[in-house]
Amino acid sequence: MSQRPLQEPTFLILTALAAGAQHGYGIMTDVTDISAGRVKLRAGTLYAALDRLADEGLIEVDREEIVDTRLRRYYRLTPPGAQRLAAEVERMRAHTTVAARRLGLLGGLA
Amino acid sequence: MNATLEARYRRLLVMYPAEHRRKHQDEMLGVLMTGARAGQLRPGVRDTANLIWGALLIRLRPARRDTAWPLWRDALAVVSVLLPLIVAAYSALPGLAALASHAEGTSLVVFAVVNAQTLGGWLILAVLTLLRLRRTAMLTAAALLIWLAYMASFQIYWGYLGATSMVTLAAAGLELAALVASAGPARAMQILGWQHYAAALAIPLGLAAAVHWLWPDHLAVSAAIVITVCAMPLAGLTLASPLGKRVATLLALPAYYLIVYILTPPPMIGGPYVSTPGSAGPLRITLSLLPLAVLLCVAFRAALAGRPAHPGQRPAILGLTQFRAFASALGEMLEKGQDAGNPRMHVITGPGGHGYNPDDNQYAHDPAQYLSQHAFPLRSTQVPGRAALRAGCAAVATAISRNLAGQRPVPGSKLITHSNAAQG
Repeated sequence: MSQRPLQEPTFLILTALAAGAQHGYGIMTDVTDISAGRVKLRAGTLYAALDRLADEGLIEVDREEIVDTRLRRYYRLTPPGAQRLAAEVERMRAHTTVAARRLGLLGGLA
Repeated sequence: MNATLEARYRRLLVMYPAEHRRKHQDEMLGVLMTGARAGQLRPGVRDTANLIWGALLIRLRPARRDTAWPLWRDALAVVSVLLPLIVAAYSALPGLAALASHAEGTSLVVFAVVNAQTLGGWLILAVLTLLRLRRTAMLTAAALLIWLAYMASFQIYWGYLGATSMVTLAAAGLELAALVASAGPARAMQILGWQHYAAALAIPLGLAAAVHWLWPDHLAVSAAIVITVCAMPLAGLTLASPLGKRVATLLALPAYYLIVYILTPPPMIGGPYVSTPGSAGPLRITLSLLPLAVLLCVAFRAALAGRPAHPGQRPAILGLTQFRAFASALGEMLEKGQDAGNPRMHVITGPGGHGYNPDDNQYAHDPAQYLSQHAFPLRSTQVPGRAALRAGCAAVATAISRNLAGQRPVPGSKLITHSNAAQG
């Protein structure tokens, strides 16, 4: 398993799913919320990412619903997915801690 | 409901591979339509661009790791059968043309000398692969490669390397690589259908004919163009299939030569006797021989890779890590030899040996240290030297013997269908 840093959209999608199962449109709006409007996922990027993450076993289909004749497929984080996200958080935390310490910001962040 | 907008989105989604559409089309439409403004009739520019981007991402995505090598092997098997057909078909046409023009008084000798050897070699290869004689074909391909390299070496000596040599060298190298590293024609024939054989024969013949009539003086260039363009329809037939992508990639290798041919301008002074337009400088020769070397390295790497014990399991590849382990093992051996004052090591590396002056070299007494500082950090990998080396050699020997014993076909991979889905 490669442990390259997660791309920001991927990280945000996993973060969105960490709260519980969500469908595609829910993930899109949630990602926009999490990133305070900075990252706006679109369908192409979203489904390329979802397909890849499912392939890698980091997410899986939770359930399917039909709402207004539209298919809604809910995705959830798998245990490996949660681990991957946790590892990424740890990696980022290590970096931000060092950066904050060197900038003398640590008191403010803690 | 906005039927127009949905139909337009649906049309955009055709860009995606069928497999992806089957899985995700309905939910993607749902997401797109939920995000649409009231009364919107056309997909937005950004959404469209993003859908194109997403489709490209998915189509160009490398196959999952555990399926990559079996698929590459199948792709190589397919190439080993199709390539001789393609090359024979396109080299046959100049011959036919020469025969035709012979009636008008032009000499047939030019064709006989330049093309017949190549054509003959490829025809033999085509027959051998169609008869599923993998090992005989392998030896023939090796002989052809050596012969072509021998012929090309004269050109290189003159500072000249024509496009024909580039392409035929690459094709012969590719064929040898394909036969060595795959299960060969027997596997390919389980995958290929009659339409693939037909395309491999008809497309090059048709294209060679067209190019021949358009630029009658540039047979060399046309060879590169033809084999390149051949790859495209074959790729188009199969692009969405992971196996098809690999076949297309392999067959598109001569495209590289076309680019080299166009990008490295012919110098004014080429041959020893006359200035030869289209002759090659050192740059072109380097660029030409480099991929051939890479190709053969890849073939040997693939040939040395062990088979997975179970379908879907990643094969033990002789990868960078393993090579590094070898190097570090060697380094440590040298180091130990130094420490023990082994006289034989001193013959190899010691002071005064083989005419180098220890004063010139600060690491003269410690080659391992020299390597670790100049090549890569050997000591960072903790490998017990001799044991690892012995184990490594044994692994390589096993891999080679397994490969020579023939390979089991990988189940579930077909050219048109989606092997990822079949295996996943």
